[in-house]
Amino acid sequence: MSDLAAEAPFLPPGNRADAPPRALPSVLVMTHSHPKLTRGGAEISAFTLFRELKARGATAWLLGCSSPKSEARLGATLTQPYGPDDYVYHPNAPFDYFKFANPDPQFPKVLEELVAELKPDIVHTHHFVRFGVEMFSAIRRGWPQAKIVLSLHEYLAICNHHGQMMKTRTFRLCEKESYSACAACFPEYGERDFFLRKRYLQMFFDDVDLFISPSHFLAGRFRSWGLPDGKLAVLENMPPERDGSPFAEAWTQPNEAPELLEPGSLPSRSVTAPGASARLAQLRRPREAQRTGGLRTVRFGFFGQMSPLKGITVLMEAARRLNTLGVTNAVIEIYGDYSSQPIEFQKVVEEALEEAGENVVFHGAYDNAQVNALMQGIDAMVIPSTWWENSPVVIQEAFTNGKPVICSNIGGMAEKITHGVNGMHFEVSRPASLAEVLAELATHPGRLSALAAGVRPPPTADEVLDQHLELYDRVLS
Amino acid sequence: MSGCVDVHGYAPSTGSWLLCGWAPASSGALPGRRHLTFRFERGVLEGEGLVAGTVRDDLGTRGRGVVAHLPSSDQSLGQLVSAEIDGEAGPVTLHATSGTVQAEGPSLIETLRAQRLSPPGTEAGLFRSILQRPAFEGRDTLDRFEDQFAFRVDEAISCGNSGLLLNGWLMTAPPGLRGMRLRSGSRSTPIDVRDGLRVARPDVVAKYGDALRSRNAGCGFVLHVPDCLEPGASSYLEVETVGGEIGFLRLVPSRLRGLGAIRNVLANLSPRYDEVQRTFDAIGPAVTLLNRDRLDAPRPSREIRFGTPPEMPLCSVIVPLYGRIDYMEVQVALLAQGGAQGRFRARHELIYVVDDPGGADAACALADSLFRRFGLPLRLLLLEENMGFAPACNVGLAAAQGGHVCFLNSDVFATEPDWLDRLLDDFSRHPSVGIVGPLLLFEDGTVQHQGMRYEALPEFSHWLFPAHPGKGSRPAPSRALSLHPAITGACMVMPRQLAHDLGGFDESFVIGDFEDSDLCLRAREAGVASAVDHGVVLYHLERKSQASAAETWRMNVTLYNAWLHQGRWAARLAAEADAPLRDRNPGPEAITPLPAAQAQRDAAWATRR
Repeated sequence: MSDLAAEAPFLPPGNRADAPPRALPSVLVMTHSHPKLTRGGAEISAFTLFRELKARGATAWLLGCSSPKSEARLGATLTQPYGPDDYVYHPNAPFDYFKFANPDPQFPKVLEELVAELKPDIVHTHHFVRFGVEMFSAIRRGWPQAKIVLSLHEYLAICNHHGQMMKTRTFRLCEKESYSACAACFPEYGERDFFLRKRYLQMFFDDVDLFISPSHFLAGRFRSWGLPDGKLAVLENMPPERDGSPFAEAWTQPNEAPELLEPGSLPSRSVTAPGASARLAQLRRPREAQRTGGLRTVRFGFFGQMSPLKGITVLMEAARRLNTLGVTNAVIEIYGDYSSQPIEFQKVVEEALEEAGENVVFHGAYDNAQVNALMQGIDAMVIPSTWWENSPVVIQEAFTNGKPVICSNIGGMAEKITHGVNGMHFEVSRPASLAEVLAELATHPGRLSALAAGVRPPPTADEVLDQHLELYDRVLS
Repeated sequence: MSGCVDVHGYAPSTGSWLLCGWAPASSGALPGRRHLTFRFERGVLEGEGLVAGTVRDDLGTRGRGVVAHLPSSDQSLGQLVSAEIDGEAGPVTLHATSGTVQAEGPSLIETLRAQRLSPPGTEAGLFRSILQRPAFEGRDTLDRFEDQFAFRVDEAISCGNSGLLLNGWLMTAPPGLRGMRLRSGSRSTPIDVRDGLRVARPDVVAKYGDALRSRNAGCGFVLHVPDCLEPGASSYLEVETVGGEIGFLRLVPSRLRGLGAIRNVLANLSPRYDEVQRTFDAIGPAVTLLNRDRLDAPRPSREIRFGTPPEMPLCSVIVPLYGRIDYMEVQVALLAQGGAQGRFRARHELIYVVDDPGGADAACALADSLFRRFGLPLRLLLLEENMGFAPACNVGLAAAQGGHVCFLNSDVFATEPDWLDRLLDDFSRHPSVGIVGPLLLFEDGTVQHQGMRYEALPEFSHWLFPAHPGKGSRPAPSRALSLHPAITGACMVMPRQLAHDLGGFDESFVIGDFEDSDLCLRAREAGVASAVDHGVVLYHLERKSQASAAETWRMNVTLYNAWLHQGRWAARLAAEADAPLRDRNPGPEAITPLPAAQAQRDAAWATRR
């Protein structure tokens, strides 16, 4: 860099304008699944970061893992099917999801050689699954100058229960991990296994220069787990793009049959009875005016996976209580899917939908590209999650659309919503508490308007990228 | 001092020459294990045998009775002339006289059993047990050992001129198993299946483990017994215990030949790490013989021509076809680019070697249709048996008429009409290059092949395996010609004379691995280099096949080929294998200078992409 700086004044002005600002570091962005192949939150954040860095003129590369449907090449561990700065890693061995160890004998050498060749200033990885936590020491060996940044998603390193910090049998919230508590959740492992697990993870985490947590709550959990305070920073993930995302076409998941919509119509699909719920939605709307007895209809939206953790049953039960309370102008609009849920839970959801009163409208799965349009049709968002959450993307989506958020009073979501300012909290897993909040807002439209007025737009991608670059500068200096 | 031979002869049941006679009383002690020299009309037999004394009232004090046993498989020596026994007090010779009787089989054994052996002791006991040995009567008699002996030979495969490859298992052996002999006609070969290659046989444990109360999964064996068969004779195993008990196991000649036989012996092996070398040192020579049997068989083929290729083609493109016959349609269409004025059609000939008897009809029909559609003349060579990559290529080479030949896989596709001409140009510009191939890409534009190097793999006894630098990554567009120890056989061009001089691909490599590397390395020995022309791009749609348990034998075929390759080339390649594997940009030393025209073409190509 210093050589270049010395020569810079002699470059013709035109060239200088084209050249990337020298202050920008080069970044290798890593994510456990390639964003062209799957669309989890971590992949989206990683891909957006990669793209925004390049848009800013920085040198950036992307390294993601293959999926079963990606084309593997005999004898090649790393391939570049999507472009010259875009790499796909094909794991050659089954991954150890207990201590996030990657037994693939090929990977360390391949990763070392890759970072030695690219010489990135920063390796920013979203996740360590599939790569394995050993990746950090491989990066150190291959290119010691690189600073390693790890974005934390979920509580995965802390909790073996899919990183949820929920008890395995009771699904109660877990406040703190301990060898004995973890062994109680997983009888097939002993305390010593959890001791070794933690030692293994923390040994490799030593090589990480900076951990980024999207919420103070999650950062706090990792601090009490043992990450050094000085290495922890709180920063939102890159907000997902909504405008014709270039990787959306690759996102059609196997269980989501693409559907052809009438111009102007919205996707609306029930998993078990296609068309039925849409018809239900149509049938119900004309009757609402007479049903609500003159009060304006208030629409509360639920967006996302209809899973127990996302609190769908809490919401359905709250809707039932609204009926009992005689609130007639509140409608719960559900945009989501339960086809990937366990079959028993699918039945639970189906029964609840069958029995739901007229104040529940089930629209089915939605296309992410249309989330803004859909949110325009609601008055407030409900996030009734029964687990801690981290920094759910729907909060940013709701704020982008100026909608207040009603959420459970715990974890990352409660941190992002200020009670009484841009949303309301209710007691986690208590339908009565949620029903109370919904009833109050439905019957006091003024409060709802006040909350909407309290919503501030979330930081733009540009702003979040600036914050990333500041953190990079901090670790580089 | 000399005595007399009364009766002698060869006994198959004892596997020895036996005699009965007398020695002068003055000879020293004779009974015991003695060095014996039997002189016959047609030769001399010498070795350690067994001598016992007999009671001969008829001799009085003149002499002492003896019987002797000299093991041998050679029974065609004719009449005995004399027998010399290395006694304690020196050699004693017994002569045959006009009264000497030559007896055979049972009557010989009867005569000797009638002798009263003396003194009673070790020698007498041993001799008696030898005489007790039953003769093989065509039946298995291992059941005499009751349940102590769980032993099978699943396949007895003919291997080489007179050898056998035994594939079987030995779960439990009776206590005091002295040994086994593989007998065939007059031949007797001591063997020990426990010296063979140990093979895991979970199938045997699953089937017999409970009954035999044994979990010995490593009970399988593969044993190569070279030079043990007598032509035309049936063969069997003879098992002997220390107590002298004998049992027989008939060896039913296996019907397996060639690939079927190779598949059978390699089916249950899964050696890794240090075991690999040992395993293939043990079994490799036998596989070599099995493969040679296969290749020595006549390989009838016929040719069908569609259209007339140029009389003196510049290059013969030889494509072995196996499996995906349908690829031919697009391949021919792309080669035929330009129609009647197409470059390929006027200058080169196209030969398909259909190495897939099941697909022959489909190939003929498709070729017929392709010629009518595209007008590109085709020669179709049909093999009656699936031979594998190297033999199929060599059949094509024998039929080729071009000044050069291009070996091309059926899943390699050319998109530029002049690709072959440009590769041929390389030979005139770079006289040191003998073999040249294009840059091969996958359908997504990443590198499939841009030259080979070698890497020692710990999992396979650190043998050298071809590695493919840059595979799966984006190609570097600016290079012209890079030199490599070897390039892939998926697409390689060379002067036909060179291919002939090298004898084509070495068919010792079974099915299709390593022979391209071997050919390039042999060309290098002959003084010419192999190169990749990065300015010429073809697409190679190589599939990654899923390894399955059913394919174990196929993996072992690869290891066998690696073993051959290792034995031949490892020493010379070891130094080159130290270089790092991942190398997207061929080193500058590997690059020959770019002629201007080539550089322009490079630039043009880079722009096109």
